[in-house]
Amino acid sequence: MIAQTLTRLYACLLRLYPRRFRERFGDEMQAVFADLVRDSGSVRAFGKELVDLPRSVIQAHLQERAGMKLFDYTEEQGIHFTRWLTRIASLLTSLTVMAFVYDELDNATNFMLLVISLVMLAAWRWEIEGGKATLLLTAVTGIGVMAATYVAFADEGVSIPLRLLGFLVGSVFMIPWLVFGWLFYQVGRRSARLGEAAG
Amino acid sequence: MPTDQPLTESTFFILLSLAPAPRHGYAILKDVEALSAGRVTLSTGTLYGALGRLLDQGWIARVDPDTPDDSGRPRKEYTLTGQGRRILAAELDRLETVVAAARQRLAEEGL
Repeated sequence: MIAQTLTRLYACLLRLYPRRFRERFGDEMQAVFADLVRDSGSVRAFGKELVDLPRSVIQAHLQERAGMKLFDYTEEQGIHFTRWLTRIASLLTSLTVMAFVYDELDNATNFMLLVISLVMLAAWRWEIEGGKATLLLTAVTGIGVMAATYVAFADEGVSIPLRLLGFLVGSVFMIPWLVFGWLFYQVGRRSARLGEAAG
Repeated sequence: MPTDQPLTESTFFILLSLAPAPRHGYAILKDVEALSAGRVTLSTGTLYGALGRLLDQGWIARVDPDTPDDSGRPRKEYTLTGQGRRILAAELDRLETVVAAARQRLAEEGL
């Protein structure tokens, strides 16, 4: 089930590449990804692809549009690129959210958002631990928000479909932080593995 | 020769992987990991980006095998061209020169 979902998601992510690149290599890339899923496990294979995705997609577009020969980069450079992309994107997201909620930090959800943002800052230094903590806190907060929304809707006599819609909104709210936590964790793990391989 | 620059690690290992025989994408990916003792692990995006550039440069060529693989999918294989083989040989010469110079200097210093 997870393997099928991630394989479909991978096929969707391929659409981020330029059309000509997809036509040239898309089928082969999907076949290789299927082999990776079979041999390494779906989560591990997908995590590896996700970490390298921002850089390889941008490179493919640059190559396509400007004919720039930028594909020659090491795995370390790819990780470094994703690391800084994650740091900047997570910081901007946190600052944007804080700008809206900083004067209402007595609200439990807003307070948790502040905590998650601080934990993501800590992930700049401790990527694996910070990534895990971000995932955990986001999941707990998201579940809390969904449960509170459901109960509040129930108290107001809102219909079940609308309550489920509240659930959906709660889960959408979690997605950016889950992605950032996952990326910090993957970047940290891959850096550590590269360090071990280098001896 | 189109390059005076040292090859990057990933390019070097991809060319080295194709030196003995043609390989398909997944076999290249696994072989590069083995050749580099786990130091270079390519994602599919990196691998096919590099293969695309190497194809454009004429260092490798695509071959379509007549028969599909075990899973029934037709596999595109890649092979080194004469030019790619010369580039790889030149890079090996360059690396040997670098290593020889380093060893000589360290020997002079008694290290």
